[in-house]
Amino acid sequence: MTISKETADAFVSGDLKALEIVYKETFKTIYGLVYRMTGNRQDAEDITHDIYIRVYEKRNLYKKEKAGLSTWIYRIAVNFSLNALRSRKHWDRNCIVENIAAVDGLIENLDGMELVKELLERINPDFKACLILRDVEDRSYEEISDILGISIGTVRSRINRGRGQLKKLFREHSRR
Amino acid sequence: MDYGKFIRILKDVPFNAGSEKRIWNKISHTLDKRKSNVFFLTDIWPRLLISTAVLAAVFVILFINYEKQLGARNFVQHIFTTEYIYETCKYDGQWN
Repeated sequence: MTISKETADAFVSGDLKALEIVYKETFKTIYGLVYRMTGNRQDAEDITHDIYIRVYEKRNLYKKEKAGLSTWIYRIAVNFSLNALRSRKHWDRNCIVENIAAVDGLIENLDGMELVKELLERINPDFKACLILRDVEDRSYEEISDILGISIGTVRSRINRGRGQLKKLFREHSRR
Repeated sequence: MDYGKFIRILKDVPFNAGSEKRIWNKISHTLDKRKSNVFFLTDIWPRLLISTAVLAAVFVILFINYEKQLGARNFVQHIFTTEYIYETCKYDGQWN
C-alpha cells in the first residue's frame, strides 16, 4: 500500500478521485482483514463500505505527521471491524453457509473453511483481532499495539489467550 | 485441523474480484446521496440548532398561554416593564 503525498493531500481536501485511488490501493488489505474478522462475505462488504465512508467523512482528523494514510485507514478498519463484531450478539449460521456456497470454487477445502468460520465465530473478537494481525498478517507486536491502541503486554496476553482458546476449540472439535 | 492449517486457510482467504467494483459503486452512491441531501439532514449541529429552536418556540407558546390565563393584556410588555421585574424580584423577607 503506497499512497503518494499528492494523493493523500487531495484526499484530505475532499477530492473523490483521490478517494478512488486510495480505495484501489488499500482495498485488498482492508477487505481481506474484514473478511477474516467476520468470516462472512456479505458482512465484509457492508463493513468495508462503512469503513471507507467513515474514512472519507473523518479525513480532516488525519494527521500526516503521525502516520501514513494507509496505516491510518488500516487502524480505522481494525477498530471498526472490532466494534461491529462486539455489537453483534450472535452470528447467523445459515448466512455463513450461504456465503461459503457463494464462493464455491475459490476455496479448495470447503470443510476446512467452514470449520475455520465456525471457530472464528467462537473466539473473543479482541483475541481474534490480535491473532489475525500477528499470525495471518505477520505484523509485529509494536505495530499491533499501535493499531489497536493497547500496550504490547496486552497484545502478547491476548495472542496467548486467543491461541489457548483455539487449541481448546480444536480439541473439542476432534472429540466430536 | 491444527493451528497451522487454521492460519493457512485464513491466509488464503478467497478474494472475489467483483466485490471491489461492487463496494466502490456503493460507496460513490452513498457519498453522492449525502452530497445531494440538504446539509441539515446529515450534519449533527444544524439538527441540534433546529431542535433547540423548536423547543424554545414550544416554551414561548406555553408561556403566552400561561400569561393569558393570568389576564395580562400584553404579555411581552408586561414581562419587560420595570414594575413586573420589581414585583417579581423584590425581596420582602421572602422571595416572590
